[in-house]
Amino acid sequence: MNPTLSLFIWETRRLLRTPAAWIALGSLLIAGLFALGSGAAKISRQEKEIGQLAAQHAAGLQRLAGHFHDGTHAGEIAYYTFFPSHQPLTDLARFSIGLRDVAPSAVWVRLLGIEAQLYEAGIGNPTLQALGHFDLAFLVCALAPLVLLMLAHDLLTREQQQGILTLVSAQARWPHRLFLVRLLVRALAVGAVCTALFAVGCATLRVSLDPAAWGWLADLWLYLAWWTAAAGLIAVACRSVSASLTAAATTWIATVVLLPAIFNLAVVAAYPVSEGLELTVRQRQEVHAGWDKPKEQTFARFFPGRPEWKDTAPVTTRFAYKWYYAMHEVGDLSVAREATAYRERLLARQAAIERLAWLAPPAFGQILFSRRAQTDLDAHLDHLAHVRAFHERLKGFFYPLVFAEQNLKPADFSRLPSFVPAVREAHSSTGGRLPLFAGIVVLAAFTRRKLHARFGAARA
Amino acid sequence: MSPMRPFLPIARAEWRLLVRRRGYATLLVAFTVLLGIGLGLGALRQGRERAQQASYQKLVRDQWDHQPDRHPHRVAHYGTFAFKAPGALAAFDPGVDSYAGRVLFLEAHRQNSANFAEAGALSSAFRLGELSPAFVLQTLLPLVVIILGYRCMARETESGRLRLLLGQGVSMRVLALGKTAGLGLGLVPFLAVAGAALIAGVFLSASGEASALFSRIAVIGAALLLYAIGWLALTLWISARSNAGATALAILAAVWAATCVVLPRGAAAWADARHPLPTKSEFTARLQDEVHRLGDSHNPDDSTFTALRRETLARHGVTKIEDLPVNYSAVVMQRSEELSSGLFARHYDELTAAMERQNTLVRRAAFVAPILGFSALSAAASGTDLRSVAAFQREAESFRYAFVQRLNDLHRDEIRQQDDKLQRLGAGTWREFPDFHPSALSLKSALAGSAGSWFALALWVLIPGVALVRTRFRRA
Repeated sequence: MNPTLSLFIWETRRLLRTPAAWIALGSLLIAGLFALGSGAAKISRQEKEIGQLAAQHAAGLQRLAGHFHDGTHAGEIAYYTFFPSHQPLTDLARFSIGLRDVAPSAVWVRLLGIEAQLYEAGIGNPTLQALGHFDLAFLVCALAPLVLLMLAHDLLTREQQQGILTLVSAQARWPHRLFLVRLLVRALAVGAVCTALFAVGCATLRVSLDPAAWGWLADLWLYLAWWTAAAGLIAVACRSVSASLTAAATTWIATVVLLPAIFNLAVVAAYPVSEGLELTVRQRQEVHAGWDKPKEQTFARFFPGRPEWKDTAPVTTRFAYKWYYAMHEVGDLSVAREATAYRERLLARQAAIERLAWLAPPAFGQILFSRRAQTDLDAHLDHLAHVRAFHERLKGFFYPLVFAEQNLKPADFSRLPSFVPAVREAHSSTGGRLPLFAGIVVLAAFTRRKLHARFGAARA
Repeated sequence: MSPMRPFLPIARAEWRLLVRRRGYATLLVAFTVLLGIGLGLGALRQGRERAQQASYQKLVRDQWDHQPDRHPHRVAHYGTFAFKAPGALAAFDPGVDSYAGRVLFLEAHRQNSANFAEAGALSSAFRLGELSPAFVLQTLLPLVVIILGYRCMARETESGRLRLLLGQGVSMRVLALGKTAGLGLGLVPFLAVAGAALIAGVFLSASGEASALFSRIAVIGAALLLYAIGWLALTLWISARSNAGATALAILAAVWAATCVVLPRGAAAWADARHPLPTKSEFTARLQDEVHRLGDSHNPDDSTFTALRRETLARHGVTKIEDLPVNYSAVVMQRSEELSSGLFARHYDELTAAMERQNTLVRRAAFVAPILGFSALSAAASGTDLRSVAAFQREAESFRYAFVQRLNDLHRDEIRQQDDKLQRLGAGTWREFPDFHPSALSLKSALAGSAGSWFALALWVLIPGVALVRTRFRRA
């Protein structure tokens, strides 16, 4: 048999004979099952909400139909009809909840100014949100490295402590290879548990094995590869069990807990987002100012964007729906700059977070996983853009009726537009994973150098 | 010889050893720097937030005062805003502030949600917590205790000095107490820095009366002390039970990761699955359903309001609405606001109660993860917990109700029924309206029901403490 292979089998057997390994891997597995359950529970509630939207919308229309048997002005129907829109859930959202616990799943909009409706908060318990969620991505990012470090930090130091390292390395023909096989066995054991959890999740939670799912799994292994390299370096660089244990604990605490907490504060302090407040206050002021201004002023700001209605008859009555909706559109127009600024501010913040995350792989992993699952900020902002587009479609439907002063009858309700979520591809480029690749190469190079320093150049 | 005699020398020796260690000063400096950064940036952010909130409140007031002549119901739809200021001690413990909406639109007929929470604008990448003084004390202080103390007892076993000491007639209890005292003394500078950060946090946040602030400091300080002593006792106990320092460190690090990182999230997930909240759409649909059953207040002929019409006509001794000395549509709207506001209060109270149920479960998890006990007390005393967020929402709602009803009063008494919508009230009318001044939740109501957290922290001290005093060292 190939000596490396037999060494591999021998080391695997040896690992599986240690109770500590069983305890660590078993805890990881149990925590993982809990994570799968928690992710599934959270996402299935959101799925249920999305599933109920159509029925709730239909009930609203029915109530309206009861109220206006013979139909009424299209503008009045538009005033009372809220249309549901939702951010679709990917299967992978069960593995990586991302922002989905703070961003609302559904936004209800009507023909009034969109800017006052778009940012409506969902329902959530801030205490639980602040504690964070326990999904598979968290398990992989935070707990899997912990187990790996526990199993691998003392690969050399333990035997050195026991005084048998020289003996072992003298007997092995390739002490380097012995070390690498040991490291690999441990990494594969942790990776196997994570993959098993992924498989269990796919099987029981109806996650389809599409390219996105395979990509998620690939990211998982890439991420673990980084930690394997880090664990390898700790194991060769330290000369005693307590030193390697201290180094392992320090690395884990710094990257999983401390750095993300510092970065979080830094980003919030450096990128304050006040545009949302500005937008809200201003939009309300602009819309309501319309009531006190001559109607021509409102239309003068409305027509440039909607030249198709500029020949509409002037409004001479106190109230007209076309003027009312023009007023709302002008309100939206007047905060267009703030709305763009808000979006850009969030993207700038996100970019800063991604740059900082280079220094904290667990945060970087969270970004990768939530991007694959489309539960990240990008996906949410894209969703808001789709809601905006849907609002335009509502205008496309209602404006011709409103400007022609037409009525809508309950029989016409079936023609009302409904929201169709856009199919969205997750942005994922191999280049985005560069920091992990680079980290692996650098760590591996250091490990190699230390390894050579310890055992001399390869004999053989 | 009194059995307690070697206590002082043991404590002194342990303390000397500790403070002369190479890493001690570094650790103290790192701890201080982290606390300082958390406090500094936190205070900067809280201050900015407070200033921003005040300037928007002023802007909105300005806009309010400069309204032209308007119909009161128009003004009721124009509405106003309530801005959520950071909690009393937010610079020390931001608690759930980042997850609470910051701006709430107050208008006639509906209760809105507070929007633009900081967290909605943040990637989930850093959701493992935000560096704040409270975070440093809750999450990192235990690590300091572990690092300083894990070898404390194991060292004696490892080196074989233990047998020597026992042979000299030192009792195990005296040895444990001496070591505890020594390590405790070594921790004093850390706790002093923590206390300074707490006090500085209070003065940097500075809102509320001084006496209340002192009780807040006292509450957090007491919880911190229990929490730290518990970790101290646990560290020494594990150290005593381990035959090598590395083993003690491995066990303590695992306990720390489990109780400070894993279990809190697990508890949150558990509470969320156990007592699920209604979804926003469900909640709104149910609420709207009941509101619709109240009738349409913009339509004075709505059948729901016939009783009101009879009653109003009778009160004024007339038979026709046109003969009423008051504006009947305002009377209808007033009744409708009264009814719907009651509905809002009930539904939102139920929602808050559901969240409280979840929080109770999380607080109960403090018995396995004491950090949850400490953080619950700290956020409550800092005015940054769920309860203060809910209190803000409630106060804003009662302000909204009073404000809309006052406009309805004006509508009823000052606007004639004929050509109702064509009439206006003078611009000066609006200036007499009060501002929204939310009052901070009192410490007493913030801490109501927190006995469980105190009990959990007390057990956290007691169990490892008793175990330590009764411990037998592992013989090497």
